[in-house]
Amino acid sequence: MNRVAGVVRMHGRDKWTWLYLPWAICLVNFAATLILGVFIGEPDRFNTGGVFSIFVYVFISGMITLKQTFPFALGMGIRRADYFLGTSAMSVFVSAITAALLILLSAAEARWTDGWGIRLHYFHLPFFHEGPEWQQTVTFFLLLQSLFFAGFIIASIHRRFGRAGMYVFFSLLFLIFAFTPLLLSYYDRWDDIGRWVQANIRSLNDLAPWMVPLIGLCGLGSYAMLRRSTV
Amino acid sequence: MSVVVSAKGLTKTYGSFKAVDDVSFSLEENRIYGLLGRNGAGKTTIMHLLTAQLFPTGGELKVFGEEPYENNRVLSRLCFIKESQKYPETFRIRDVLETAGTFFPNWDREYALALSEQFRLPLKRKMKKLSRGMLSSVGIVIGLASRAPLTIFDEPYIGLDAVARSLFYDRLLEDYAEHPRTVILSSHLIDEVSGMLEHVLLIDNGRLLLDEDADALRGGAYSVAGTGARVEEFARGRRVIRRDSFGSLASATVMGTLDGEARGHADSLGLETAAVSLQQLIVHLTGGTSERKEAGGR
Repeated sequence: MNRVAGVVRMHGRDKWTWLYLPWAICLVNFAATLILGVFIGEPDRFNTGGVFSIFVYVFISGMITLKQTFPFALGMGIRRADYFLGTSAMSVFVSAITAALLILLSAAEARWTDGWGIRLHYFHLPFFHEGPEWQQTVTFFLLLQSLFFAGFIIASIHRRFGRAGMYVFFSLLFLIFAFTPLLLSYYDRWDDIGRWVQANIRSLNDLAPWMVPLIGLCGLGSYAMLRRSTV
Repeated sequence: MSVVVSAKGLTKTYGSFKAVDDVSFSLEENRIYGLLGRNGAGKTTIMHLLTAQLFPTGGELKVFGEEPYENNRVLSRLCFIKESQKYPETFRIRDVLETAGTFFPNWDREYALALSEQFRLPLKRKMKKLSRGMLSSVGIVIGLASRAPLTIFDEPYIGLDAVARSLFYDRLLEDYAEHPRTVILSSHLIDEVSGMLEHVLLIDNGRLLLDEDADALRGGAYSVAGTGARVEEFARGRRVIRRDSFGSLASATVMGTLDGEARGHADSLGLETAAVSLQQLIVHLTGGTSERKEAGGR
């Protein structure tokens, strides 16, 4: 049997972690919001952020998956390359399903039920849900993939370089986030950036082209780490 | 007989520490090898190198004639069961066995289920809830049912009681007879496994100390006991690996076969002779005190 497919099937044995749990959290959250909305009234006056639990979850699952399954797969004689390909394929399936469901629920909320009968905004939010549904689905798919691989590369660096790798990685990240605003202030470029954002970033869709290189970078980086990782 | 593993000058260092130091050996097809040695001697490191889970610092390693690293032709024919194997916490025993079934080409599902029953494994229980012994049993079931041409067991019986251990030994020999393959068994319960081993590799401080047929080793040493002076007289000109004395009495462990000449010599001096088990022999060889005593005795 093809060993990449075997890795996908291994992940598929854990549908609970990959699919059911994030949706359970999101839907329980939704039910609570719905009940509150009915009792408090006027839910259309605020936007809830409950749906973002799924995005946080996907980021964390990118980190946990590696820790849970990499030592097992290698112990069963799986190549590092096959593990990476199979895990990536699984994350593509799950991101596609999740994105499609999220946009379906968003359409149900905004178009078909007028906010579940009480004008609730839970799945359909301004900025995030603009443009045609197919475009929203692609954007959400890319966002979910970005988050998964961001988590995955962090776990890969940890697997490859241990705690020292984490210190270096987060120190660099901190420096970038600390110095970029400083430099922008020093060269007095904030206004330019503000104008550019206002002109170009109207919705989440406009960020989608930036997510593609991010996914590619995190994916290739993870593979480079895993190739030299030991268990 | 074809060669399954060949290592030449295999070395693995961590900084200045040599975990495996210039080890060369070759393993033939369809034999049972014992990889013996004390804790920390380098056995587990060698097995990790064979399966490309660790990278060697130096030397050459061929498994089934090829480099094992990222090589499916090699890795799909290997099964390495280690004491420290980690399993996904959310998996049940059943999930682990089914997954192993998709990874090992020769997997026998019926046999895996039958073994699970014999080892009394609760198939629906989550891996993180298993006792140490049950974890070991899961490893043993995978190792046997994988029927991999090269099967490696690294201390597979931690936490198992004597009944389960002998069940493992019985099933291993039984299945080995029906489906011959190369087996490497790493163990420090040497007496328990010595009957199964056909060949012994002894590792000490990262170096290969012995690479010998098990039968030759089993008759490879004996001990004599009697009064100190007589034991000394017997030992002269022989290779003594250990001496003990209690008051005026002494005993010596001597390398060599207990043939007619040696037996006659011992009898004429009034010394008692006894066979030395593989375990005792290895304890003497790796005890650390043997060299000093040997030097002092000459």
